[in-house]
Formats: sequence, C-alpha cells, structure tokens
Amino acid sequence: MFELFGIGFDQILHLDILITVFIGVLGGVIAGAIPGFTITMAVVLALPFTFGMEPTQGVATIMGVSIGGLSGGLISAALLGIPGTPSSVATTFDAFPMVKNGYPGKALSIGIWASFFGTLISTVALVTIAPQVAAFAMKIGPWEYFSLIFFSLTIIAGLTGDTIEKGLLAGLFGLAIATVGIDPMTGVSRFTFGLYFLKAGVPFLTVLIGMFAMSRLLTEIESKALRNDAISKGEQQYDSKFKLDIIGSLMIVLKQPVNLFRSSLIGTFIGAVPGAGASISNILAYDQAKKGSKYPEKFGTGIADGIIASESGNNSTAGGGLITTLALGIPGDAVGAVILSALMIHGVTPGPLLIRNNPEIIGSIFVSLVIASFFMIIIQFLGAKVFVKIVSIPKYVLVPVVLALCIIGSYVLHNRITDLYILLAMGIIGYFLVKYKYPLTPIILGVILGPMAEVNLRRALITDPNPMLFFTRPISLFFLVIALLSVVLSVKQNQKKNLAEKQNKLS
Amino acid sequence: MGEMIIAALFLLLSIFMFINSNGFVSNFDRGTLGAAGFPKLIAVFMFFLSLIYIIKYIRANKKINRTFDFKSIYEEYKFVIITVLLFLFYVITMKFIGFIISTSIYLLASQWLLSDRKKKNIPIIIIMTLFISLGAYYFFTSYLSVTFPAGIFFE
Repeated sequence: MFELFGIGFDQILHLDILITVFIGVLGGVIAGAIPGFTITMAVVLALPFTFGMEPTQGVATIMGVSIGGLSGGLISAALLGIPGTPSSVATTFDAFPMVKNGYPGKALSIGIWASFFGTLISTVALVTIAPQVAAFAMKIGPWEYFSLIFFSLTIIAGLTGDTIEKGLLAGLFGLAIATVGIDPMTGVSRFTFGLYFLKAGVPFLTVLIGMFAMSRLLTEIESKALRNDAISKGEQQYDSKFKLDIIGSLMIVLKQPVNLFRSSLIGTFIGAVPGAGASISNILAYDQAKKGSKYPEKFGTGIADGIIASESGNNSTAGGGLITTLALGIPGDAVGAVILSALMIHGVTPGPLLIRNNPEIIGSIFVSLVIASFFMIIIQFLGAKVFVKIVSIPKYVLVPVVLALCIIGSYVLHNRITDLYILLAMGIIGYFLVKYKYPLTPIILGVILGPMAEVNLRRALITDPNPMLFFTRPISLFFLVIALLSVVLSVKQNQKKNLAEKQNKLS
Repeated sequence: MGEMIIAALFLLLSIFMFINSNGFVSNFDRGTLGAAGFPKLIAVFMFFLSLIYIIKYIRANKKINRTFDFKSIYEEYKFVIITVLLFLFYVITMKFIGFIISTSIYLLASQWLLSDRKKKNIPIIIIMTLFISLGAYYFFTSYLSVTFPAGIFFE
C-alpha cells in the first residue's frame, strides 16, 4: 500500500508538475476565499486548463485546486464573517468572534494548521481504506454494482433535497440526460431528434459547468443578492495590520489531538458517503466538538476548538470523497464528480481496477494531496493579507468574468459552438431548479452514474435474465435494503419537519 | 408554484420519454432489456414521483391567490435576464466576428450593464476584459492547440 507513495513521489516530484500544483492551490485558495465562488466552480473551471497535461500532472493540479479551495473559505469566514464557500460556514462561528476579540492572526493561523492536519489525516485514511474497498469491489458482479449505484443515488437524493421526492426527481432527471446519445451496448441513437451533435450525448462537463457554475452565477446577480452584497461590503471592517502566529498556533492545534482526529475522521467519513460533502462535514464536526467539549458554553465566543473542528472537518472530506471516487468510480459529491471526469478526460477509467492498472495515478493523487497541503500552508501564511483584498472584488466584474471562463471551458472541451447552447440550457434549467429547491448534486451524479448503472443492469440481465437475482444475491439485497431504508428515513424526517413547522405556525 | 410547474414538466418529460423510447429498436438486443429498457424504467419512476409530488403539493396549498406583478419581477431579475441575453448574443456572434472580439464585447457590455451607474471602476473593467479575452485565447491556442472561431476580420 505504501509502495504507492513511492511511485507517487517519483511521478510528482518534477519541477513542472510542482509548479502547476502550486498554481492550482493558489487558484483554489483565491476562489475559495471569494464569496459566491464555490470549490466546485473552481475545480470545474480549472479542468480545461489541464486538458493538455499528462494524466498525472492534470489530476495532481486538480487535487491542488480542491485542497486550496477547501482552505480558502477560511479567510473570508474568519476576517469578514462571511463563509467564502458553504464548507466554511461553521468556521465563522468561532473564527469571526476571535477576530473581533482582536486576534485575527491567531484565528487565521489556527485555521490554516487545522486544514493542513485535516488533509493529512484523511489522506492516511484514503491510502489505507481505498485499496480494501477496491479489492472488495473486484469481487462483486453487475447485480451488486447496479444495486450499489441505486443506493448511492437514493442516499444522495435523501441528503440533498428538501424533500426526498425532489431529490429523487433530480436524480432521475440526471439519469435521463445521460441516456441522450448513442446507446453504449447496441449503437441505437436515443433522444437525438436527428441532431448530429447530440449523438455523442450531452457532454458531462457542460452539464456540470452549466448546473454548478452558471446557475450559481445567475443567482448571484438577482437584485436581492446584489443588495445584500452591497450591504455586507459596506460593513466590512477589519484590521489589516495583523501578524500571523505560525509556531504558537501550531502548538494550540497540536494540543487538541482528540478534537483534530475526531473532526478529521468525521470529515473523511462524510466525504465517503455519497451526496454529503464538505458543506455538511464542517457543521457536523463543529457540533460534535461542542458536544464532546468540557466547556461547550465557550463555543461561539471565539475559541480555538471551534476553528480546529470546522477547518479540519471540511478539509478532510477531500480524502474521504476520493475513497469511493477512486475505488468504485462513484463520486461522493460534485467535486468528486469533477475529479472523476478529469480522470476520464485523461484516458483513465476510475473503478476497482484503477489501483492495479494505474498505480502511478493513484500514487500521484495520494502524494499530490500531501504536497498540495504543504503548498497550501505556504500560500496561506504568505498571502492571507493579499487575499482579503481580492475577496472584495465587485460582483459586476466577477460574474461576467467567471461566466466567460465557463463559456471558454465548455468550448475548449470539444471545440463545438453547439455545446455552448447546451451550456446555456443547463444553466437556465439549473437556475430554476435551485430557485425552487430541487437539489443539483443528484442530477450531476445521475448523469455520471447513469451509463454505469445501465450497463451493469443490462449486463446482469444478459448473464441471467432472472431479475430476482437482484434480491436474492446477499450483497445486492443489502444495498437495496439500505437504499429503501434511506428513503423511508428521509420521508419520516420530512414529516417530522412539516409537523414542527405546522406547530410553529399555530403557536 | 414554481415547484409544481417543474414537477409537471418532469411529468410531461416522463411521458415523452416513455413514448419516444418505443422507437429504439436494434437487431443486437440480446438481453431482456434493449436500448429502450433503461429509459423506460427512468420514465416510469419519474412519472409516479412527479405525480405524487403534484398531488401532495395541491393538497397542501389549496388556496393560493398570488398576484403577478411583472414590473417587480423584472426589477428583481433584470440582471439575470440581461446576462442570459448577452450570453446568447455572445455565442451567436462568436461565429461571425471571432472569439477575441465577441469575448471582449461581451465582457465589456456585461460588466458595464451590471455595475452601478456611480460606482464603475473603469480601469478594472478594461483590464479584466483584455486579460480574459487575450489571455484565454493565447493560453488555449498555444498550449492546447484549440482553434477558436477567427471571424470575418481575421480570415
């Protein structure tokens, strides 16, 4: 298992690769720090720039962007009290009060170290767990694989939607998008309406850019959002003459090993669960740290514990999400989906065979996580003061520029202008879906898992036409049962929520 | 209301998918599930789920009297509409006037229209426009040998 590290170091330790990883981390940190610019957007937009690279370099750069993005949210969360990304919501709870108490340097430094250790711990978990998961996945047949995908989609739907129906409908919509184009098994054209450019299917990356970047940007420029933005920018006041405390804060973080490990393991686990990403793990880690603390009443007043929990919790989802992405080919969230598509664009098929067939890719992903977290420390400690200024970039510059990058990124993929119309359609669809609280993550995972689900389903039925095998093979049955359970649970939870809302209205 | 309209659109989509799938016939269908099987499966699930959602929604919101005020809707979403129109204009013109010019026009126009009348930072607008349109062009053509539409002026 650790020989993979050796291979990885061999692959990554080249100056040109290190430079692109560094640029990736830098870009990620900046993107993460800008409110309204999510990590997913950063990763998606970085992808086109890696098309021309070797697979290991391209994937390593993308890892850099995602690690940078996960820790970049810290800057605006701590100094301005606005989470730069949803992954750093809990960071604002304690980092912002600490800054207000007059310790901005300390708050930032603690967050940076916590991010660093969170990434490292989750990388160790990834390295130990991923090969076992892959070995298990090698033994299962198409029945189990189909049931596993089915389970992934239902749990994503349950976790992300405000009701399970909306989540499932979104997932089905994603599956439907994936069926457009030539059928992988028989070569029949499906839903192409005689349009030549639809034969190759709807390009996954275009769906991703449209849904996660464009729709987000459109939401940002609603008049209400612009007004709020102007108000919060008017309130921004921070002392820019702070000093970062590198050694002292390292000691503070290391004095809390239990908190650090617990939060990192929560993050890793949440990352590995399909559908739940860093936006959930930071809050959960914070909550657990508060519950496990001897002085829970101090949380929220600006103590180190809260910052450590939130920042190690969100950064560690990176390693956790990669477990299922690499070992099974099933991404945990949208960032995982981008990494998966990055691998595919570079000609690498993710899944259980990846560790055996492409150890150099796996090794370089492991190593790039470690190297990226070192770069992240350097960049954060040197540049935090500069990044704060970038955060206040006006929306009227940010939105058009990022939108142009979306357009360029989708065009570059296939050199087709027709893809840009698909992009626009996806952006508008995504905008309305978000507006009416249909979750987007199930759509993306539906699109990426659809072909896999279909091929496994049909392969299973070709091997043996008896559909009952899905229910009689134990592992397959297990996945279907927990899929059903996840649906039942989220229906129950919803009923509870509705009841509580009704009582609130009555009282 | 929007939630239900989307669910209704999903309902229509599922019906359309199911009917359209009947045309997917191939001589290579060996299994019990041909090219049409999976899309039909999706369509069936989608049909029932959207139906359930619509019924639930109507039951929960029997009396809704919403007035539409187009002016306030426009005020709230004018930038969204402007951006979408500019996007469309950008993509359509790219073929004719080329990548660099259309990108520059798009960036200038949208930054100009989205910003407040009083608070325009003109140097930033111009710098970003040139940086993105020329920078992206240079990067992608030289490193990835992507060919962008050149347009009539540079042919």
